[in-house]
Amino acid sequence: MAKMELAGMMLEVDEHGFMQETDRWNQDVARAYGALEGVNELTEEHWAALNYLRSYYLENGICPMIRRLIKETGFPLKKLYDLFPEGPANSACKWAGVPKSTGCV
Amino acid sequence: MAKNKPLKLTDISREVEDRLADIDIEELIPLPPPYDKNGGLPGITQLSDDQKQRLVNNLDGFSALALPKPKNKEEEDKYVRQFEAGLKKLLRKGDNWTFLQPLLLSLEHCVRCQTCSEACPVYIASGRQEIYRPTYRAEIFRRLINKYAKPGGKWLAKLKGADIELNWATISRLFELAYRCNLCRRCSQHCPIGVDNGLITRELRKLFSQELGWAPKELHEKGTVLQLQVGSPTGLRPNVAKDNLEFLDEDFTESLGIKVETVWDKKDADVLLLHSAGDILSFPESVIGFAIICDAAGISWTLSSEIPGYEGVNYGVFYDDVQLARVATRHVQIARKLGVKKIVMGECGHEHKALATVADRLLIGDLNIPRESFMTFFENIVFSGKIKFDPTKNDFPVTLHDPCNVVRNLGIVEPQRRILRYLCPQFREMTPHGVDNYCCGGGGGLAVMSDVNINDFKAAVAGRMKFKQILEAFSDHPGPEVKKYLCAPCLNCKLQLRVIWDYYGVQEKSGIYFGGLAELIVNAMADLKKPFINWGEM
Amino acid sequence: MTGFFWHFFIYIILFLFLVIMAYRILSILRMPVHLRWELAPVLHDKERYRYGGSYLEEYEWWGKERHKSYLPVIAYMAGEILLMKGVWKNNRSLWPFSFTLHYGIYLVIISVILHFINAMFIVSGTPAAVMDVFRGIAAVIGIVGYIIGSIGAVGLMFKRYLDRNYRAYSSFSAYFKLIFLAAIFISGIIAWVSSVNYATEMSVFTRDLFTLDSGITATGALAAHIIITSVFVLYLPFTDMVHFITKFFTYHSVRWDDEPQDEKMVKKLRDLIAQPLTWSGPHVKSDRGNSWGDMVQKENGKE
Repeated sequence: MAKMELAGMMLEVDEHGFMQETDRWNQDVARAYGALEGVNELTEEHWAALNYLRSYYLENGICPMIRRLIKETGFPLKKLYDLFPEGPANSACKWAGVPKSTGCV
Repeated sequence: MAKNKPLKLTDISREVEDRLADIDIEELIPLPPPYDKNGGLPGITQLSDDQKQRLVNNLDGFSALALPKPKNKEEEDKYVRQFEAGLKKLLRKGDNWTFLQPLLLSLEHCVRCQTCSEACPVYIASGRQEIYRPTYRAEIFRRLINKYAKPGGKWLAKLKGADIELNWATISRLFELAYRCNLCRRCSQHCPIGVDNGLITRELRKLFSQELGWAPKELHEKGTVLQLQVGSPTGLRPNVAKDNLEFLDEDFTESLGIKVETVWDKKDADVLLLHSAGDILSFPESVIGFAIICDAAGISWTLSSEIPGYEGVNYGVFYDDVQLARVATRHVQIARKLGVKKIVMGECGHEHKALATVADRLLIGDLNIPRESFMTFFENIVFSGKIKFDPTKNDFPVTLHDPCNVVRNLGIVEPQRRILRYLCPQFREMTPHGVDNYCCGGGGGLAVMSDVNINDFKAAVAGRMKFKQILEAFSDHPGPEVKKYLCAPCLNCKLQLRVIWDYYGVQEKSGIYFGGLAELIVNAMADLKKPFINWGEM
Repeated sequence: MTGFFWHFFIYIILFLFLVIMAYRILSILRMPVHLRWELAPVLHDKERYRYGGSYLEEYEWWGKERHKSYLPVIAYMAGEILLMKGVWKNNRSLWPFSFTLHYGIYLVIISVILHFINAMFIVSGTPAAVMDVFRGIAAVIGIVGYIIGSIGAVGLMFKRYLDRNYRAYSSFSAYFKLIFLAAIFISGIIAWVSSVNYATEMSVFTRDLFTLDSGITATGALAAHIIITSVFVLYLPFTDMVHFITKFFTYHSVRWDDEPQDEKMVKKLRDLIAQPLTWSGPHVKSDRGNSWGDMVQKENGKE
């Protein structure tokens, strides 16, 4: 298993840097992920998306559909790509500390 | 290693950590502009230093499996012994009755005429890299079986000059190499003797999985295992699936101005629709499209919310007979419990192959519930006169990608074409097509595999032939100003296309959008006020 | 060499050849029913075979009658056997050698049959004029077979050695087969050239073989040719060259086997499913003595 140091913690991650122990996530981890992708400050809009993603994941064991994310946050897809450079699945989910989605999604 | 030095079969056993090939993007077959050299070629992600330290990396610079390096020689030897035991089990009637006859026929009759090589899109697109040649992996496997699993094999291997050493290097390279093939079986079609290298590759994967417990995480641990436990490899649980569709029903009802309603667990319905859960999550237009078509045609249909009745995928087809049997059995048990007349398989190729043919001889007795392809199901509806169509609504360039598992493997070729010729005035075929098609590059489970840097292999190498023929099919409108539709009626193919699209920026550069068949049918419905295909606008 | 050596030698070889071939074919036939693994185009599907379609294109196919036609199957097989169409279409640079090698073999077999017919003529006292015609044909077919067969076998040897697409895949045994085949054809040419009347000699030899005549004789180049050919006949069943028969099974038992389960098959399948499996992968759970059936029904992966 790969390891990665983020926000002063040693985290278990997959080969794409997604956290494997979602319980250890905190806001600093999200900021540190953002910084790695060149987003040095997380705005309220970032947090709106991240908080929704994370709470949805914790409740349902899966990331929300893009359509849902768009509807809940009110951000169109383009906006989500502006906020998260690699897009909702590859950046937002990662920053929110949830595992990478696999299996035909 | 030096690129031009010819590779020998015995190189697979070289007990050093060097790779057998380095893939250079400049050596791949060229693509039409703007994806040629002048357009600036996207690169191939190399493994990080940390990954190189941890992971086996001795084949081609790609890692699909993130196989950790063994701790010591004992561990290596243990795996080698297990592999040897597995070779023997493949030849045993009790352990491998499922494919014994096809396997032996393919192992014993290849005359090494190499006719299959030129049929393989991976081999050709790679600039003819020896390791990807269909016979490279197959001939090594054949020689290993002959040497280690047959009486007198070691002695005969020396005598025949076909001696390959089984060691850690051999099996670790073979494991990765087994996942550089799309199992599309184009090579098998070209074999004058009838030898099937796709089958041999799958048997190799099966040995790894059934004997060593080695399989790609996305196919096994997070694939079939998760599907049998929680319902879907995506992690989608029954209540979440229902909740998502409720959301989608509302969303589409609102945006289309017609009532969309998903039916769940309806006893004694005529039809159980078996979609892939990934369509619900990533391509919901497909699932909603089915609902609209069925309702408009007055079909009595239902979805199932029982584990795994809303998830039609069966990754067992790619790597494991046991998991294949478990998933297929659960699917039909659910249909039997609901009392439906038939299962209609949704837009997923390997689901088709699993349920229509491969598992046909496992689903015996009262498990033998009729199973039908959505292609014939739709054809019947479209030409029944129950729905009014206005083909001018689909007046944009459309081409069709043939999913190998539906077309080459099942011979379902024309129904989808009759629909497209009727509903899409600008329908054109790509070359070659039908049973001679090229795989999207995501076949054989690759579409769901995304570990380390394998997506770059899928986009740059495996999907290259497909991408080339798609571009050529639309060469009359190469630019983004004309919106074009690639009909790819298979979730795995769509997932692979998404990887290609992201890698090259196809939507922006060429204006090609992809989706399924249901979307085109709904888009052409005369009574629908608003367009159903939204060209990526959300 | 004369006398019973020949009878002994050739009949034993023919006997062994038949026994080994029968064993190989029987072992294929006796293999268990396998899971379906068909591949389009399935040529017995009437009409639809033209574009590779199958009965699964039929709406609710299970309620429809199936229409099979064996004409396209026969046409396909004929194209393969007589013209090597697959190789012509997909591997043109190999075709000239493959074609000549195969035709060399076909013609030699035909000439053997003609010698046999001539032997019968001799026994039955057929007029010389008729025999002369047959002998003439046999002689011509024989030498043409030897010559093109040599071209094919030697050509393939060079192709294997010189072409980078083949070299790495050509084991010693691959060359050995070709050397063996070339030896048959070349020894045939030598025997033909060094004999005053090759066809007559062969016909008489065949007659003596057939009538168990102790006066049977063949010497020099002809003897060498007959011995090489006979030993090859013994060697053939141990190699991939049995594809001349087994190709039938790769096509009919796998590629074109699109039979849905029927009662007879289900009976066999029940026995197969009752077998235990011994695979060691942890998910198989074979340590619990599971049969295939248990593994799906009880250990179905729910936990």
